[in-house]
Amino acid sequence: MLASFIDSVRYVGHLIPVAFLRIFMGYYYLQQAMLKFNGDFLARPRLAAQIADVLPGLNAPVWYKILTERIVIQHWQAFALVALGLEFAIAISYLFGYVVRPMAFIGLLISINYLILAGGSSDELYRTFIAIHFMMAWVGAGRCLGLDYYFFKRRRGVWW
Amino acid sequence: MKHFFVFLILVFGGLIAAILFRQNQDPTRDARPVLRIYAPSSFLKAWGPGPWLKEKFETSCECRVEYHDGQDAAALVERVKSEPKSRAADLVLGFNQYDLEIAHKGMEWKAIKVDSQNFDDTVRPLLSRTSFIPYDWGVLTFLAHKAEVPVLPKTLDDLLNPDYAGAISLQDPRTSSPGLQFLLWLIQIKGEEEGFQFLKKFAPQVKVWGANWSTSYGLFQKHQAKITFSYAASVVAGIQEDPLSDIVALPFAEGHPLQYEFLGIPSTCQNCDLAEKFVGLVLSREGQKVVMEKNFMFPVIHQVMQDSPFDKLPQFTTIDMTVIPNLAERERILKKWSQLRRAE
Amino acid sequence: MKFRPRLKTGNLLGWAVAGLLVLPYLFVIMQVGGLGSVDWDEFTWAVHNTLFQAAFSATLSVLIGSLMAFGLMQLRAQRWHQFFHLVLLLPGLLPSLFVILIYLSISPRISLGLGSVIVVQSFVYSGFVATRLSDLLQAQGHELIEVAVVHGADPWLLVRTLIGAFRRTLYNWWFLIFSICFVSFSIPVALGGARGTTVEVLISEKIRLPQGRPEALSLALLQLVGLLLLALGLIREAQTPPGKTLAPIHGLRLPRSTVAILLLYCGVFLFGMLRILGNLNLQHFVATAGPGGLQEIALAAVSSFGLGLLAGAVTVALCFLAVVGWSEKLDLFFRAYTSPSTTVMGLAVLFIRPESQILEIFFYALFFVLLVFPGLVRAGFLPRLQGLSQQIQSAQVLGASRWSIGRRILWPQLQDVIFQVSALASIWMIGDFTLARILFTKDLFLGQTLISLVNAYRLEQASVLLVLLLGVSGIAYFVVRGLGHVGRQKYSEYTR
Repeated sequence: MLASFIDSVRYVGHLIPVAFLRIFMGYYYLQQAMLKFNGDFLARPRLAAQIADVLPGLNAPVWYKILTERIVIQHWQAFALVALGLEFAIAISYLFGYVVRPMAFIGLLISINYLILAGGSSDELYRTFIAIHFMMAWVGAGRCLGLDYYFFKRRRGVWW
Repeated sequence: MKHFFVFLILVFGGLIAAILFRQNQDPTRDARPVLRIYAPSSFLKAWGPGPWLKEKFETSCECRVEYHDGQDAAALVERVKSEPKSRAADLVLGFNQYDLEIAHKGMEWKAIKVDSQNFDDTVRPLLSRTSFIPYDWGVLTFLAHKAEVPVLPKTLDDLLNPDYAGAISLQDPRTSSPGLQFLLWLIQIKGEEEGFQFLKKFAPQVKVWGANWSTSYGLFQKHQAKITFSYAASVVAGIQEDPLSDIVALPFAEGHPLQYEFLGIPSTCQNCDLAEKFVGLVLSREGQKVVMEKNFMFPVIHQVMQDSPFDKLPQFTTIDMTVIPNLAERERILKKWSQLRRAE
Repeated sequence: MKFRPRLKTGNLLGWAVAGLLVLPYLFVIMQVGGLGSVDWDEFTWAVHNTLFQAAFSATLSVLIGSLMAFGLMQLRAQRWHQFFHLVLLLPGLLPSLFVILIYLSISPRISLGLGSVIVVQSFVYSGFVATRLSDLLQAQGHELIEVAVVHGADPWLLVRTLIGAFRRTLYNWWFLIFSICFVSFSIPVALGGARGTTVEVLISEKIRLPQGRPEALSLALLQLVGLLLLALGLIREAQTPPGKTLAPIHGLRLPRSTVAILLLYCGVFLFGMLRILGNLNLQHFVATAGPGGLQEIALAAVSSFGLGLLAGAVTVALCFLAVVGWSEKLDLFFRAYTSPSTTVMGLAVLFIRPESQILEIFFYALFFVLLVFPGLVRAGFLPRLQGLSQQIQSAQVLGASRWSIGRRILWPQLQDVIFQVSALASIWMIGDFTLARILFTKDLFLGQTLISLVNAYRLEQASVLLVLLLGVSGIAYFVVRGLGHVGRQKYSEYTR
């Protein structure tokens, strides 16, 4: 597996710049996740409060608003745990280049949700993230300098 | 896809483990002080008075109440002693009068100040022990299903009637405090030799010597036994569960034994002030009402029982319980009881 | 089977496992400070009760199980055969609390005592005998049965002949069930009453208070020595070769009454299960528990699942060490050794208990596995291991090391049964309440919550929790078995 990791530079070397972007994104997500973990993200209903603030003026489908109000806010703790877990998963996935394609889709979904719920100030950031995740999924960014190359060689298929 | 799902499971598993580990390592995360209370299962469970008392106390104390299950009164002291310092008990509830000797030997206890004027006359003499304060009491007697026992026994000797053969559920005195109470009651009324002679004749009447009160009472509830030895207040519990219940408490001419339940604050308490405030709540009129209604025992504060279903129970003649055999004496009696069982 | 181990290191691994098993006794001896004098009258009475219930339970189990095995063989349709196979195994696999609840629900007149203990224990273990014997007969008794079919032998004569042919195996199963019932705790303590006190129950009564602990320890050691002597005197070798393909026997004439016994057994069990499930009142349960209570139960379910997986992992690790370090003396040790009493084990863990709750849970899982490990080894891979002796000897003659023999010959062939016993350990771990109640003062796991409800005779609420416990146990069982299946594939790729 280690040999494949290094071999990937030889065969998929044109993806090295993307690999660096992937690793940078992984590090960014890890930082954000650690901040949440060490803070009170799980203990206090910050997520619920934030959503409750933006909900009235939200430009989203009705079913999304109802879902958010009735389920996400009521069970904010579970959703906070899921959000934190997914951020850690994306971080580890991008850092090691493992199961990058499916995680990129998850990242895409999270970024879309954050774009809707975060309010006006972070719009540009999340739009950029959406583009980055989409690109990661498209090129299969885990294949260069990542563990995905090992599985890509043996299994092929759309997920590697 | 398998890799993806396994990866997600591992990440979430690791995260949950990390959260639990962090909570465990750092109890001050929740900055409120923690009041650790040890009590028997019957007190702590959803059907006992524990949850109400906890909720009520937490609204005003700016603290967290943490209950620990001591299982039964006999093992309570051992449980309290064996816990590590980080989980040291602040308050212990559930000792009966036979456990106090073990409690005293095992640990040091703080004196608790109470206003004896509020207490019922039945329990006021017990307040001389300042380390252990009674918080409820009960009368022990036989209960019967009226429909299944047309002729109700009125004395201990009436229980030897062949009609009751294999119909009585009792408790093992080695493992159950009501069981021990029955044995000591018998010896107090009849004397030791005659008491054991009675037990020999009584053996065929007993369906089961249950390991604890729940087993023998449960069999009685399920009509597997017609008569059981229990607390007089259990009648109220029976009626609450089933308004058509025909359970009756039987007053005996010989008089009845009493059981008192005590609480104490160990000298090793970490939140001793909070423990004293909690004691105050348990002994308040409101707290006593809840203890009475959920524990199905009589309150120690007078006039709490007025206008309640418990007030409608028949009056029972009680016997003097001030002389309590010491541990060595009880061991000797229990050994003699075991020999009797073996010879059956 | 003769082992002549070459490398000492390999041996040490096996003896390390044996050492781990004996460790709790040493902890307790160190802490209690010595042995106490025993009330011999009480002890002989308890031993008499123990021997009585163990011997009768084992005898009835083997008798009824043998008859049911012939009934099972007559069910030619594969689907029914599998269904009854599962129903027969369930009482032995499920937590004992479940079987006790079934007994309490269906008995018209409950009488606590040795009789109830014998009835329940026979019920639990006869299913095990039935399924094992049925498989064994079809695998090894194939030729004899075919001859009987051709010659049209009398059904009962065939039954007698087959039982005679496998009497050694049946005898070993008798001893296995005897030794399990000898040290059984949960069934005697729930159903024994004061008249049916066994040595295990006596130990638990003494151990509750500090002044009784030296005596309790003496009783535990006497029990261990007694069972060791019985084992050395009574155990006979019987081999079970690696499984052959099982095929239903066509044209087989066996007594129809054996099918009736089988149907009665399964009917009683399923009726009991339906009675318990019939008590289910989810609405009442939810209303009584409240949101806080439901949250606690959900957490207990998740914790129990994790605990089950942990127990499975620990069992796999211990099995691996035992297999790699196998020797003749270790074989004898495992066949004769009995775990300490549950309450003695609880005392051992209490004394070494760490402050951290996470480590406390780990020790709980480890000591529980140590409790059930000898039984699992005896019932699980010990017979299979004995069947591999030829291969081991050949490997030794060719100069293979203990490590190679363990890794390349024994482990691949025993993996499936090892993961099977590990999955069993995980189910039993989830259903445990005895050790948990000694260690923990809060209801952290489902078994504890369930026993509290049963003790309070809240059987309706207990039924709901029981279904949840069964669900969690089932998932844990399949996860561990599945991991074994995946591990086997990966291991074979790795050693290719």
